[in-house]
Amino acid sequence: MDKLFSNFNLAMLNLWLGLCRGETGLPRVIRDLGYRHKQVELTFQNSAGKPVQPELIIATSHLGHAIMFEWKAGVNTDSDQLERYAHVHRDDLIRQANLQPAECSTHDICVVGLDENADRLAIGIKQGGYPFPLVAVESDGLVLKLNHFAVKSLTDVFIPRLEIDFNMLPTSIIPFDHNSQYWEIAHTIIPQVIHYMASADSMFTIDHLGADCTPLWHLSLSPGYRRTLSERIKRVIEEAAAHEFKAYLRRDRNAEARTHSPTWQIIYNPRKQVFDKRSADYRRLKSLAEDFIEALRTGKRNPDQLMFDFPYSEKNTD
Amino acid sequence: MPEIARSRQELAQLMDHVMNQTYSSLEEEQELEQETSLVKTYLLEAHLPEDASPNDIRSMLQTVSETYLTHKRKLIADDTKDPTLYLLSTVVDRERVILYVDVSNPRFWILHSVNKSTALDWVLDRVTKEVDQLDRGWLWPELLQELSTKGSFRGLGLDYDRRIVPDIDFESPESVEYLKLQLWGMQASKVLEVLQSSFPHATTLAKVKVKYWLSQMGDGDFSLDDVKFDGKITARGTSFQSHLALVSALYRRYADTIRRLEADFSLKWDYNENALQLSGAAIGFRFPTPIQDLERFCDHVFSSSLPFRLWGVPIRVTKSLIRVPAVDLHSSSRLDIEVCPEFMRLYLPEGACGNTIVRLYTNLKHHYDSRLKAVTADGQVIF
Repeated sequence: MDKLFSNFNLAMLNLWLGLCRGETGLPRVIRDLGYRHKQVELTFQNSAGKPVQPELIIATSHLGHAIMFEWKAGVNTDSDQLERYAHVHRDDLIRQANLQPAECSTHDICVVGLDENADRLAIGIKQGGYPFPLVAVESDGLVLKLNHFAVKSLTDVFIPRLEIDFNMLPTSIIPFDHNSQYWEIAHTIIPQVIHYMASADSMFTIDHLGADCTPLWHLSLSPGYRRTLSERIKRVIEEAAAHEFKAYLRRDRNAEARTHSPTWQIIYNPRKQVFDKRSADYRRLKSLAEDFIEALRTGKRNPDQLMFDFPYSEKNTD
Repeated sequence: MPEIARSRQELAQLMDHVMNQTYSSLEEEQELEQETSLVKTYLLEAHLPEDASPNDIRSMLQTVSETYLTHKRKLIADDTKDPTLYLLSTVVDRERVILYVDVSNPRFWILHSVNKSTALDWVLDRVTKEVDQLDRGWLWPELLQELSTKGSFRGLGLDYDRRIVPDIDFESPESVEYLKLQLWGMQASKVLEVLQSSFPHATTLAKVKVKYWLSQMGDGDFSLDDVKFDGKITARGTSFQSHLALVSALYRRYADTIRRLEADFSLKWDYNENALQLSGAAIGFRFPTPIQDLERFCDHVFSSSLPFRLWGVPIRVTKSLIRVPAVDLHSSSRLDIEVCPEFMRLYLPEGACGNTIVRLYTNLKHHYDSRLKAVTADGQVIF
């Protein structure tokens, strides 16, 4: 089942955002209970002055209940982290997480992990004596493995399980993060470059591209997060400009003194052509994008493109 | 009567005269006089904000007039006495073609002409292909059916062609590959009901003929309008005002839907220094019959070609989901689409154009399944 999640944390973020938003193809019960997403990756201080950073906060004014989520892709909990969560009080949620008082009469810290790791994750929660609900991701849904939520109607949702077809999870709300594979990043940023072309832009920077492609770009996350994300996006564009998109993109180092960000010129733009030629150009770009993503995914390049070294490929782990 | 109108009033007089002349010819001789033609109106959507300045509009018209229709033919743009009415003219087959462009709403343009359809359709086809910032107003079938209730429903056209998205075996006994039909007469409503019941997935309303009276009493001056799904409206009858009233009501309803799509369904991320908040919902397209071949479906819809004009690289993420970050080549808007056998999720980024959604929805009804429904997060039907 873990093959479903090349990036567990991102999958859980998209899933829970989707459950709150009532995305087509997902169960509606979480939305129907009134839960709405409130904050993504918010860092704030607990009542003891220590920082916490739940991956997602959702809340419902109908039930007066808020949940802070912590995804766990691995087998262990972090005892210090759990201790800091235990000291989050209602006032912290109102004053620092901008929740309305009616949305957090009660709250929970919910740990979400893979079913095969549930026993190990439970040990950490039990050892600290925390009441945190542990939700396990099984092959066909979400199951409450330990403790219960502060509101019974939510606990009941996971008994015996909240059925979910993980083959149909939303993937586009937050399309990639710093842990995504190069091909996954390329799948989002190459269409953005095509959008720049279709908008008659003559250049773009990595800062623009990052900001336009993933909302996570804007967060002041842990030191180095933005740098990692930026570096991975830059590598994808470098690779594209060196191979499949060589005739379309060129690094413009002169402009970088002005833009303060790695910058590329769009040196050929189909938009300037007449309709028939333009349509043919866009079809060609589609074919090049397919080749490029496939090359990043498999490490094997279309023979026509074997002009340079290919250092950034990753084997597909799906 | 001036040959070319230079103001709104002159335009109304000219169009009214042509409509009456045409109607008399049709009524008395059952054919049009040599020099007479029907009034045609086209709904075009410009990629301009609704509060665009006159300079922005002029600049857009300049772009239109600089566009080559053929390797040496262009449109000429002219002012009129009215600042929100322009003329576009050219010559097609030695006939001078004149289009009156009403830009009173800078985004939702209304074009009128009395030239022949063959010439006008060709000009509109060229302009909407060559000028990315202009697209037709796509009138989805439910909107046409709703329009048919505004007056007396006098005829219909059906247009379904699955060959554009051929993901099924056309040899199978239950398949309908192509269904086109024109019916003029008072039984239009009944025939539509029968066909929708017998061939629900292939009965796609493409045109309605509506007799519309300016007076709510159903008497006096009237227009008899053929309203087609691609935003072309052909008018007969005795009153241009009646025709204008119907067109205005139709375009108001269309524009309201576009605005609602953009207001309610644009994904908007709000940032502060340490948190992200998301607003705006995804749109769900629900297919009553699951898509049999996701890859073939996506290859055709995201091929960059007409009628969808969507550029995208479909990649299968799981056995049941193909993700397609896409670009609308008309408006240049980005959008993200997830395709599963029973539904599609559509995510419009902030600033994207609602026209993209109605073009996709309308064309999927014409080329895939007429029963397609667009729904909100709470399951409410959008169109």
